[in-house]
Amino acid sequence: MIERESLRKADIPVSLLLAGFGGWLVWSASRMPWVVEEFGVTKQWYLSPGLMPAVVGILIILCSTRVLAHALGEGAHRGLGRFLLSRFAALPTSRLAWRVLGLWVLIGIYVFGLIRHMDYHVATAVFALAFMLVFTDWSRVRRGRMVVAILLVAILLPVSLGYLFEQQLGVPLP
Amino acid sequence: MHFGTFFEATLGMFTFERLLVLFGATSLGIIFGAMPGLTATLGVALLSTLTMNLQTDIAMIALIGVYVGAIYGGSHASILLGIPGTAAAAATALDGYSLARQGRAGETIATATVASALGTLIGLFAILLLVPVLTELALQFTSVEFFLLAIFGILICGTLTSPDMPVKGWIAGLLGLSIAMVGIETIQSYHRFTFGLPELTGGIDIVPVILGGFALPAVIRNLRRPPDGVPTAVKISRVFVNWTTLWRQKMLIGRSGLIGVYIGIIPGVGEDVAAWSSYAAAKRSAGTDGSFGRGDIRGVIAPEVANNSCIGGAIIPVLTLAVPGSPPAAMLLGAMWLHGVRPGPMLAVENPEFIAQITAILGVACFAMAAMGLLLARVSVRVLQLPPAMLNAAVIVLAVLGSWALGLNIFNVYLMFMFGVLVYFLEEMGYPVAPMVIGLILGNMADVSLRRALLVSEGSLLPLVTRPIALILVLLIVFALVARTRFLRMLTAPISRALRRKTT
Repeated sequence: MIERESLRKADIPVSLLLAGFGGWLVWSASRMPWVVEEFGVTKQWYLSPGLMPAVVGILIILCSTRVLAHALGEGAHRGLGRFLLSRFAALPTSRLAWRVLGLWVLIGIYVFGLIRHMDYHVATAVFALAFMLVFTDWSRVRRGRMVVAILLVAILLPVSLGYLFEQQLGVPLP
Repeated sequence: MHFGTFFEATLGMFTFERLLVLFGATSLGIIFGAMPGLTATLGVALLSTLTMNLQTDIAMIALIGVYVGAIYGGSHASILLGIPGTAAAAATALDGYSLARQGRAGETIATATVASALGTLIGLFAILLLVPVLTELALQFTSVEFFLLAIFGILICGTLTSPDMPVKGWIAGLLGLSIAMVGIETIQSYHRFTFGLPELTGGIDIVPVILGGFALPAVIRNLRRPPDGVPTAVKISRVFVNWTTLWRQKMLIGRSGLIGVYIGIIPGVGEDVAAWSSYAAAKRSAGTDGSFGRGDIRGVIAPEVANNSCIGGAIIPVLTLAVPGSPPAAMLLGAMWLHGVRPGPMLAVENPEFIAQITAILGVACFAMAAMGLLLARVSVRVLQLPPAMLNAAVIVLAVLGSWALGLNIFNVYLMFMFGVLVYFLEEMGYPVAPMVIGLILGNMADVSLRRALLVSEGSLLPLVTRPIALILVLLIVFALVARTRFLRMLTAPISRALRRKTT
């Protein structure tokens, strides 16, 4: 969790987003059938598929408003614009942000790109290799040995899991 | 459940295949639990997809084995490295690591192991005693009670697990409810929030949500900063159990066990809360001698008993009400559904041997955990010497395969990734994932029960307050809403002060 002062400032846009989501739920629920006449039988509002989404949407709006009110009460709205701009401006130079983005991008490429477009073993080996090469802390290891270990793991991981899932558990691979 | 059925089921556990699976799963759980960032929930979730095509009894043995092992395994890293392997072992690190650095690593590990085993046994006895009682109670539940129970479960989980404001926990639970509404709804077969995608007509399954919500954010948090260095474990000279100490702390063990069971029964709260609650209670009753946090063995016994007795406590509502008592129990519940078992009040009628079997597995798992825990004491933390990038790459690959294995549908893998992103973002903003999981699991029950209850009462909400059990649940819901408010703290301050005076 991010630190408190930043958290309160972030609570304002996040709670507005969540309230918007709650509003969308209520709007979607309003478009679902509420009173239906079928085969001479009237199905009442309390059987409507929109009941639960409406209730949940309203509760999300109420709870998000509470979060927003709390953030405003702590003065988080003061300097919010400046805070958001400074955070966005700091992103390109933030090592943490690039590392997190890099992790998600690499996992995303594996999930959305590699698995569907090449053999599972090759896709997993490529992903594991790239992942370990990029995120190993090279300052604390012997490079030669680590590279060999990474290559071995990158090959053995898909082979062993593939064998376990296909041969032993009867689950075809993607 | 008759005790005779339980003993029969226990004897049935002693086949080569079952013992092999149990000891193997428990060992895997111990190693998993020893690794910081990897939770018991994730271990159970990964194994639930691995065991999907196996027989139900073998699958349950594997899942309970890894559950028990993982909850206990966190103590190894806590004691030998000062780094909790799981949140449930965080309290153990305070005194356990101090004791280890005083040259008592072996004794502390052994004490933690026996304490965990005793805690698991207390949880087992709680199941034997309370499941029949709760089943009788649950058979009187109507749709009104089930709806209120679902709401209470979500709210209390949100209240107790939120690291920031309780209302953020409630929002997380409501988000879980909204995810549960995706698909063809049960009463009128209306397509809700499917956006025309055939993959969503069956709804969103719990497995990709849990794998995405627990695995991916854990990997990101483990790797987003370069590691400080390879942790150095305290050396263990001799592993031995100090039975005298354990006998002297028998009252502490009993109280911690009861705290763990009680916390476990509360929906969605889990073993970490049980451990901390028990630690705090032990510290309070120890008075002002100041030994806690500096190497007091009671600071190891109390949380370890509680976090393992919580397992039994968490399984009780799973079996009797189909409501999970903790996030790993939520995954266990999901696995039961995958195997066609319907937990709930009718389980005792439709499948009474299943309850006895689960209890027997827990009992034998307790001894497997004790044996493998002592054997693996020197080995488990070596896993932490492996480069984090290697371990975490394996976790991602397993999470992807686990999501795929469910239905052989790549869409589940995409869902896993998307929930991973969502949960990571929400957790950074102080919204906990546990209530979301509880909301997803209980969402259908809440939706259908609400509409059925209103159908019977012709739209009236009076049954919420006229039925006695419903009224109690309404009061519990009110308690869940005000539990962490300043108003309630003000109201209970005089009682808390009086209790503190009694113990010092």
